Amino acid sequence: MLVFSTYLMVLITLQYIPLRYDVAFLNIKQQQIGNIHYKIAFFSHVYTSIFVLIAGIPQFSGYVRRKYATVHKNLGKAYILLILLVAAPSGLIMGIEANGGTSSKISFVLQAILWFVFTFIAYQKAKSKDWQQHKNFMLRSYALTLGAITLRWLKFALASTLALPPMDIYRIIAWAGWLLNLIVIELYILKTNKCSLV
Amino acid sequence: MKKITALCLLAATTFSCKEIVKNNEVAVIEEPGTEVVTTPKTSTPEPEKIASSVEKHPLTGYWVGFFKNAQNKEDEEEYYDDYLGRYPKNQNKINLAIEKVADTTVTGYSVVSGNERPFTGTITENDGVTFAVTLEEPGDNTYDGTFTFIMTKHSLRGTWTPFKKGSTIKRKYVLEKKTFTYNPNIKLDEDKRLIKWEESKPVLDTFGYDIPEPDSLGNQEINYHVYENTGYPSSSEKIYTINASKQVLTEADVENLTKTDLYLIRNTIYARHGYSFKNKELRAFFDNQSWYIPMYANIREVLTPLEKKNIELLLRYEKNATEYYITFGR
Repeated sequence: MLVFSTYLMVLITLQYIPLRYDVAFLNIKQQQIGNIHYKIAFFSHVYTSIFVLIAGIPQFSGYVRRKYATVHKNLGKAYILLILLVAAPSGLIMGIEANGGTSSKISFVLQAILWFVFTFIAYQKAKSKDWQQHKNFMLRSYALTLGAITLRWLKFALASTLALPPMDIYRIIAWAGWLLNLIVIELYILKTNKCSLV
Repeated sequence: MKKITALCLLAATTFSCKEIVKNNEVAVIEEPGTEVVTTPKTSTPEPEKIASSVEKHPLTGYWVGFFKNAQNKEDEEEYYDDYLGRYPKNQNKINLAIEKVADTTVTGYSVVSGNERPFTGTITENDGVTFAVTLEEPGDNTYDGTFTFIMTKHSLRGTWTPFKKGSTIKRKYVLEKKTFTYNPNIKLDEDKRLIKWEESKPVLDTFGYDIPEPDSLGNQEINYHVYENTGYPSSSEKIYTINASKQVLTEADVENLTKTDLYLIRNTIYARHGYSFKNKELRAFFDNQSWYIPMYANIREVLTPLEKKNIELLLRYEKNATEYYITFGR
């Protein structure tokens, strides 16, 4: 499921190669794409996030961590650097100019900030070798990364069943896309931490 | 999770992967003769073809009405349903434009279903009140034929027969005299849909059934029907309030509109100019608008700058709605 969705995300990313301003999502962002800051934010977000998504896939496997510790470490560094330096800040800029009005703007801005914060804390926890907390915060960080996928599946589901007007759907998925993931992962963390206490 | 996986597998088998991300199968329908041209012709917009003169024969002018199947009786009309509503079958609005009447010679052209065909013919006075007229089209088109009608003060009543037997059906018509002026204020008639949009919502293939009243013996026959997937979600009330010939539309005005809304709002611009639609669904929809008169097969040069701007915006959102509405994407 994750691999298939990631493959779809690759297909989405490929629509923007070569660099074009009149394709896909940008068709309904013509007011913003003329601005240089939006252009930079959009393309740096699109081109890096796909690697963030891919880099995260093997990180939660205990097998990979034990057998290929350096792979885990290096992929983790790439993941952290790409989010903190590029993907989260560019997401924040795009969030400020998001479609769907104030509500979805707040949602995307909040998501970008939390993404940055969770990833940063996870990095600090790794440095201080607090592995349990490192794992918890990486789970939260990756849950937000996967918000990109949840949001798009939700859109697909809502459009093909309820057939709501496009911007109404967008306002719903803007929040539901990452909140659902975060709730699920918090419940998971709560459950596993309880188990480890026992 | 199992459910989600099942959903994805279903999705994966229904569409190829690229189609999940972008729908390339359906294209935005753009009628020929409505394209926005950036360098307008130097010629002035097409003037009223029939100049007003004092000594006009009463026959000159635009005669408008429905071109019906001659076989049908008035009370047994057939209907067909499409995503824009339910409409009478084999009926197209025709505009019989009589340009000139000189002695017994009549010249003009007809506009129907996106076709303009010239004709010439003769007129003979019957009794001072009614006239008998016969008009012939050139004959170099498979669908050319002969108009034969009786003209009274207020109407033309008659038939049209194709030259080539069997090329198309014989028609009958009752036409009324109308005048055409472009009016950007025109709004769609709200009561022209015979069925509600909500009832014909073919977003995905849906399966439904009607349960009719039981007959005298108490038998109930349930009719099952499958709506076809046209990819068109239903339209909203917005099509009656947004006038793309009058107001400059912004992204905010159009971003929450469905594909059908955008499509109808854009095509209403063309209809106001008297564009004669080739597309069957659009033709049925606009033919049933009281104000609509098919005038031209080409309206490229008469679109106003405001309309051109709106058309481009609407097309951009229509393209997005067509390619990305039911997709894995945002």
